[in-house]
Amino acid sequence: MNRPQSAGKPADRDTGATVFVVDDDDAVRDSLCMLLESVGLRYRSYPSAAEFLLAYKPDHAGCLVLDIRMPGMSGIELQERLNEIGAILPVIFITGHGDVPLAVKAMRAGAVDFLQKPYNEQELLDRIHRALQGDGDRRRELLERDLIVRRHGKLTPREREVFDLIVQGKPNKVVASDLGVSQRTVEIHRSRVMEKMEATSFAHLMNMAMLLQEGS
Amino acid sequence: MRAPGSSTGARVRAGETVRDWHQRFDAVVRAAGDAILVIDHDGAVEVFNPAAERMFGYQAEQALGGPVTMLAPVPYRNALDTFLRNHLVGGAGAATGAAREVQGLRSDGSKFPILVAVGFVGSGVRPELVAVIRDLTESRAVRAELEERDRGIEATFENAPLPTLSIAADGRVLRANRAAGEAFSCSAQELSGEQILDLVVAEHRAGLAEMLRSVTAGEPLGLGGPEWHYQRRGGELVVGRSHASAVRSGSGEPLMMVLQFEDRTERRRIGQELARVRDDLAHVGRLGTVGELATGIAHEINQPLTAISSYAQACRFLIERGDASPEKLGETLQKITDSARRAGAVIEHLRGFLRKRESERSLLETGELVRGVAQLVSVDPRFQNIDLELDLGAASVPVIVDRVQLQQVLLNLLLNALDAMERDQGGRITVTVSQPDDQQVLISVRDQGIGIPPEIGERVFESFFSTKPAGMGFGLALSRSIVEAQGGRLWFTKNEDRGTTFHLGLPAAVRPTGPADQP
Repeated sequence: MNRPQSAGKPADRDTGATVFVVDDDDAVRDSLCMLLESVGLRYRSYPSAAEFLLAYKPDHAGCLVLDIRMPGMSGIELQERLNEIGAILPVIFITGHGDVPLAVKAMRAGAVDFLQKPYNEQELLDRIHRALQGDGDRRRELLERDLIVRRHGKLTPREREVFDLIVQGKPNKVVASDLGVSQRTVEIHRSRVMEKMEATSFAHLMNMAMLLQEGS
Repeated sequence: MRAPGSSTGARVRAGETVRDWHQRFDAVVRAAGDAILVIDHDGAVEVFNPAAERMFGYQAEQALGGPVTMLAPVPYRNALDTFLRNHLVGGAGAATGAAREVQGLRSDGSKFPILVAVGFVGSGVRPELVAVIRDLTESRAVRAELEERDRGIEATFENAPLPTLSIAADGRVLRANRAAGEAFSCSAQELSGEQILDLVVAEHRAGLAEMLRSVTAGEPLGLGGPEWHYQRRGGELVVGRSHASAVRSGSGEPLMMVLQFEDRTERRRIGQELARVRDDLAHVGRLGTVGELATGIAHEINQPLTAISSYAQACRFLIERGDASPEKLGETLQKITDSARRAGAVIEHLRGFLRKRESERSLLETGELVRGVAQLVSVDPRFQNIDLELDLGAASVPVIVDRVQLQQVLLNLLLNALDAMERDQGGRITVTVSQPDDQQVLISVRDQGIGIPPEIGERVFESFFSTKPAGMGFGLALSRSIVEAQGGRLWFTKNEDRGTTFHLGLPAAVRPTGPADQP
């Protein structure tokens, strides 16, 4: 069995998502890759955590299928390292017998799942799909928030004040009195805010405000 | 004193005067050790010699003329009276009675046993009676003492804790004591008359015969071999040291032999039982040790199982998709086979170690023992951070041991070494095989752990002593028992820097010529 990493078919074209497999056992790794290939998933495999870390960039989408016990850097340590570098890749741990305490620790550190070897392949695939879906959603969400943050950045200080007050549901009259300006001035700022934020409705603007709050 | 008649049997030589004869008779009667009395036909004492004076406590003057019946106590007095009337008064004299045992009566009224022989003098109308009387008091006492001693010897023989047999010169059993009966599972009587050589198993017959021969010949005492086997009802009698001696007549002729032996049947059974218990314990110990390795072992088996399952599932998906080329399938089936073999090998290795078995020694190289165990722990994840160093300098020295049990001991020592070192910290465990001298080979397991506190010391070898939270306190006690049962030693020394070294000394096998098995 060959140790070097192997590239899978770029089958999940929509997202470009990749299943990253890290397991020190050649047979387990090879068979898992073949399983992924047989259902048309794109994958990359690594025999050690260190080799994966060398190759991985945080913007690589997909999920990580990770053996919990490995010589050198363990799966848990790799997970911690990923958290440190802010990688959002979801992690599915595959564990040997009797590693439940470790798995619990992994789940606390943010793993999405863990499965015990020998696993049910369909179950593993289901979880991989779910993880990929989750990763896609999360990445899209992040992308959207990034966009909103950028739009929000274009607002003038006064427009930001108006934005903060109207998303609290305050009517223009109250905003005007709060800021000590005329109601007419508030109306003008408000339409500029809607325009710059590319809000299609007031409800849309409220949503964006919530996303911004979440991110802060 | 009256002159005796001529019927005393003494001959009067020609020319001798009656006076001469008288003097000689008188001297004999005076000197005699037995009491000599002459009784006239009326039953009165006529002669009463000095021995009679001493015996009955009367002076001759007191006795002479008195009735002889005063010397006999009731009821002998009446019998004597009747006797005298019949033989003397009635004149029927001639019959000479054989000596008979009766009782005498002393002047002080005490009775004592006497032996009386009588003869008649003068068979005419007035016969006289001569009585020679021996005091039996002393010989009775001697006889009683002898009888007592006999009973003592009898009791000693009968109750001797060791099975004891007396054997005639021809090998027949004369007598057997109770212990012998018990040893042979029969009654002591049943053993009498048996030929001793028929009681021993065929292969030991010649040895016993030789022992009995040398005892009879008066050669130095024969001691039986380490163990002899006799036959007995319902099985075999195992005999330890045997001891035989000859009983000889005054002239040195052997009359019989006395054979005594130690019944070791029970001891041997207990020995075998102990060995079995030790084997069982060793097995349980192995289960425990392997239990400690369970995580590693399960992992080792799970890996190939996982691979097999995934390969098979992948093939199914490929077939469902119509994407399964024969080449791809063939290649994958081969991978499945490889993985299955890998799982099988793990199980095989374990099974060899876990099989419940009796101790079984074979000749092997010391290095083999160490390498096998090193392989076993290499699958344990806990050893991943441990630098396990093997220094197999004297690895080729042969030993005769039970491989599995010795590997169990080594495994135990390695697991202890691991426990002594803080796992995450890692460290080095060094296993060294050396040969300090021709007689032995030494396997040392050196750790860099926390060491054994001096106040604990040798207690680590006690059963049920453990410093580990989940320890049963079995490992080292059992290990030492296993090692000692195979002629080895197990001890530990404190390292100069840190940690402990356990030493396992085994006798080096001298000749590499096939397995030998010495109990």
